[in-house]
Amino acid sequence: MHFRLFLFMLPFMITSCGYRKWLGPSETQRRLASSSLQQQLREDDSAAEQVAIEKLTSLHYYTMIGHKNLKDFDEVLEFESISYQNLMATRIQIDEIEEFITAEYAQILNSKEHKKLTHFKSTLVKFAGLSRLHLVSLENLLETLALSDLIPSKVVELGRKELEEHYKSLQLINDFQIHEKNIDHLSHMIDFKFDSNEKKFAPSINKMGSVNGSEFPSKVWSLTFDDGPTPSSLKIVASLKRNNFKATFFPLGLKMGRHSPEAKDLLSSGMEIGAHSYSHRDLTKAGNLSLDKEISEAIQKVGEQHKQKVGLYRLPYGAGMNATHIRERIAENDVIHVFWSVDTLDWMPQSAQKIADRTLKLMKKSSKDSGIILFDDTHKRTLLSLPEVLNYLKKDGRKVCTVGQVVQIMNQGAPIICQ
Amino acid sequence: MSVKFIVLLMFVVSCASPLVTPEAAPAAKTAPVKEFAPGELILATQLLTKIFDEEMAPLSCVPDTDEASLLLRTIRPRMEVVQDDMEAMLDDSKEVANMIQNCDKNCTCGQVDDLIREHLVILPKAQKKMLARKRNDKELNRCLNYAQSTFCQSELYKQLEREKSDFSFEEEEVE
Repeated sequence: MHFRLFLFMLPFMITSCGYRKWLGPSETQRRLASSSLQQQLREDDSAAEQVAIEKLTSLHYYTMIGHKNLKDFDEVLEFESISYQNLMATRIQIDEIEEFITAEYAQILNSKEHKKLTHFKSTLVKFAGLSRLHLVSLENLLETLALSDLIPSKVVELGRKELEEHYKSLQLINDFQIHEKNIDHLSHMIDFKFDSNEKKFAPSINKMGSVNGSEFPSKVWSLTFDDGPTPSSLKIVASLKRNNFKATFFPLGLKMGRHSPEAKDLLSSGMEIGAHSYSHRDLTKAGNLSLDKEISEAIQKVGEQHKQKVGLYRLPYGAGMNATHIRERIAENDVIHVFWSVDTLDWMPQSAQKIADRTLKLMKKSSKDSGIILFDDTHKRTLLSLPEVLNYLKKDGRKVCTVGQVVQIMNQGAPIICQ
Repeated sequence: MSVKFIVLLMFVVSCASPLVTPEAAPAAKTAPVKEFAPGELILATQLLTKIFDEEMAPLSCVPDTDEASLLLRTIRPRMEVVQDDMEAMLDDSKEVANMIQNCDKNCTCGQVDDLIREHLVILPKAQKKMLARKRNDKELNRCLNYAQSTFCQSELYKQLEREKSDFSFEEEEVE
């Protein structure tokens, strides 16, 4: 019950947080849309009815998506869950449509055109009469418009089975799929914008200077490959391309050379490239001169050959982030450090199946179904373990982005479109 | 020789005599790197991997998968040296025969077998048979049981414990 109350309060909370500015259409846009509908109402009743039905259909779709996520949320009761984020996104969309229709109704009332008023009411009644579920979608709206008397019977609580059946049938409709995707995108944006409008990641000696995947929005994964390039790297690239995925590669400086065909091919593959030291030594045991070579020179070398600025760096073994002088050196080079949240341990000799099993198990453990996966692109076993992992990533609406894309998305609050 | 000169001479000599020998100074600065037997490193890595994969109960000194993950990162630089050495040996059939012959004594049969498979090394039938016989679950369990009961008291664990903070992801916020 508390959660229903909370859900009811969401639009007010969201409005007070200022989300409208970036989530929905602006006030001017809304007025323009409203006046154009008014124009249509004057010109053609059937066109107006079509617009009204479109709006009511959207309201119905979003309401069903909302109910589905509400049921899911009631099961997990986690505010960081995907269902909670989806709920917030859905509420915002519903609120938008309800405001739009309310504004239209106010205009018609003010115009005192009885024919239009009758037509408006009959459109609502017609829509409500389609099914009990359509009636549920209109409940709040009719109450706001003080038109509850139009409801032929009292709306009752939706049963899980009834909702699931209806939801399944809706999922076959293209238009409904678009509405679902819209909620998915909005949900990610809410995830990013919740804390602040400041950049989440930037080169720095503080926490914002490194990313480890735990901050990733739900259902977003990054594949990363260290220690290459080797002949395996190119086979891995081919496998990724077959699946339309992009990954982040962290090659070693010493393997960058004009005479290395693997380096040339990897850098021109369209994959994201970071740097991973010069020779893969443990930097906690390196002196100042060595640090120059392992950090600055490696970044420079990869960047020069790649003909692009390198924005990401990964320490060998992830060692050294507790040493201020190493963090300073990384920040000075204007790069963000990249850890990982799923360690495949593929550096050890073992079967490809073992690597795939471990990776999937760790991925399934992630509460937000997101993170950074660490592979090496130096072993055949890694290549052989990939298909199973890539297949898993293709399912259930997961998105595969490069680390740089996620950093950019999270800093700018843009929707997730990576593949 | 005056008394003053003798006192001065004694003072100069005492000051000049180093308390620390020049050779000893850098040694005191950098802690000596303790070397460990390849078998011990391989076995410890297998043990930590089993705990990380939740296929084995945690130990008092490795209470959860996070700790196992941290210790695996810490042991990895040493293990890479071991693996490089072993991979180099794969080119020499005598070395390969030797590795197979002795793998059960140092619990490295699993590692040797995985490397041979990965690098597509063709073994004579007798060696293949011997390795298959030596690499079995019973043998692995014997080795892991031994590692389980000794790891927390081992010098290797103590060394990893000293080094592990370098490999930690828990960053301290800098003011």
